Amino acid sequence: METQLQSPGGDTGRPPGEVTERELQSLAALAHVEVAPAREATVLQILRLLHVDIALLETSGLEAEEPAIVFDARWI
Amino acid sequence: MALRQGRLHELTINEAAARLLRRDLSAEELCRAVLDRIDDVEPKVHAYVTILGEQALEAARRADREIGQGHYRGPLHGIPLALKDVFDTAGIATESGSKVRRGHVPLENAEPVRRLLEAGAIVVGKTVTHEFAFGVTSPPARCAWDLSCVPGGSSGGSGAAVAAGACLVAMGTDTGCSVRNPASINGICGLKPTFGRVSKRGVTPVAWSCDHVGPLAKSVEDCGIVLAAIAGHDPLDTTSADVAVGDYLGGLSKGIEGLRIGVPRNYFFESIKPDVEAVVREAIGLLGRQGGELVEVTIPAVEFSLPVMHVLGAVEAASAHRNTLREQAELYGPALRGTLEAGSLILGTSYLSAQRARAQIKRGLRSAFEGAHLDVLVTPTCPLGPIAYGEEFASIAGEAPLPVIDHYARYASPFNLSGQPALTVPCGFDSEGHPVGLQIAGRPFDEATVLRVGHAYESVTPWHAMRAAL
Repeated sequence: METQLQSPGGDTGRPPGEVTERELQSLAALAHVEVAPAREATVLQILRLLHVDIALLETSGLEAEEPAIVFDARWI
Repeated sequence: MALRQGRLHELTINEAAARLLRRDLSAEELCRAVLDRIDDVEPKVHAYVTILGEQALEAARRADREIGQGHYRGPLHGIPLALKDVFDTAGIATESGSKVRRGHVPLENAEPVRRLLEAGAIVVGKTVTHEFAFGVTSPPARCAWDLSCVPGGSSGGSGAAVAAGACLVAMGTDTGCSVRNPASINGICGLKPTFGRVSKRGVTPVAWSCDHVGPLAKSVEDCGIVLAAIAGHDPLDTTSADVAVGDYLGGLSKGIEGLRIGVPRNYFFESIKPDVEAVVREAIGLLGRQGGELVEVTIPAVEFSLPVMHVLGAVEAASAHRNTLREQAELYGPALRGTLEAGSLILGTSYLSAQRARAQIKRGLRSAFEGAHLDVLVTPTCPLGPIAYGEEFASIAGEAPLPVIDHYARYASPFNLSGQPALTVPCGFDSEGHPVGLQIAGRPFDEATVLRVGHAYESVTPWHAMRAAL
């Protein structure tokens, strides 16, 4: 069993990726990234697209049983 | 378009090496011919950020002296080569296409560069990269086949330079498509080796878990020659694999009789221009007529490659750029800056979701290979050719427009996620006269078979010998 934090927009009844300006600034403050008001629209657009991707992956049933943090290309 | 005419700048590495060894051509002559060609075509293709005229000629004269004294180092000795401007070069500016790196002059060569110089290659210049190798349009470089179009990317300068005869071979990097896409767009060959096969030490990172280094060249054999020089474990690169280096040239001419060649039923022929699909299917049919056993396969989970790539690319790049983004954000181009800022705001759990999905994509590819006992899998390299310079979106067959990176990385990125080797070879032209590439992916660390299939195809087709009219 696992518990996952929901992506912004993912547990609010809003469509996946629907990140608000307020959420953006909260995330930016946590990440120590400064997003000037003039750049909010650009960053929001990209962030929303990424959250659509994340929502797709998190509802795909694809996630493996084990964490896949270590990558190794070898299989033979 | 025309078949090449044997001018010095049109030679393959293999052809030039034979003449250099026979001494009916000097490295200096060859280098001068390439530098003259750069003078002729550079105003059109804008492939270079740095051209090393006198420095390259001096290195060429040194190569001539060594060869004359019997110290022949091998097929790269005296060969003019270009490096994407993300490879550190000692004493030579390496700016990664960004104002963030303006004036950066490394003290040491990147490990692949060190190995290429050790093999005797002559660096004639550094080529245009999309900013920090994150993007596929590579301004201001142009497609050698259509100057109104982009050369692909992010190794767009390397692709255009090789196709234009402005070097004999060039090096690139590939995180989601960035060697294979510009190679395909410019009608040449490009090889992304297995993850870990080639050291990345001293190469500017994009997304550590997906980055690869590889050559863009005029023939499959030339790709093998370069791979033989740069492959091998580097204990100082934590992503480097301690796996024995194969023989990339000895088996090239064995043919493909009996090899099992996978043809995907799903994903790889979806959202593709019909004329591009027709060209690629014809190429695959030819592999069958050459004795390859064509086997249809379904690949689980591969349709999630682009979403995974988007998340890994944005987050890993944001991590790599964390300090400069905080201190010099204004120096980034607006597109990359936005991606890095957004990537900084993705939850760790979301990144791990992408990595876990990536593991399933890798499993899907492995199950297709092992289940059908495949030697290689063949697909289109790109679903469409070059787009008009300045465009960032493109649509296929009436579908909604998508960012061009989604088109260009669609069929290439699964092999960045799985780490498998993948080669593109030119296989014809679309209805607009733009080159089309056939992608050949193999089992991990089995570049030799990938190159063997590519060489077999090339040996019975004229496409690799076609040159853009510049």
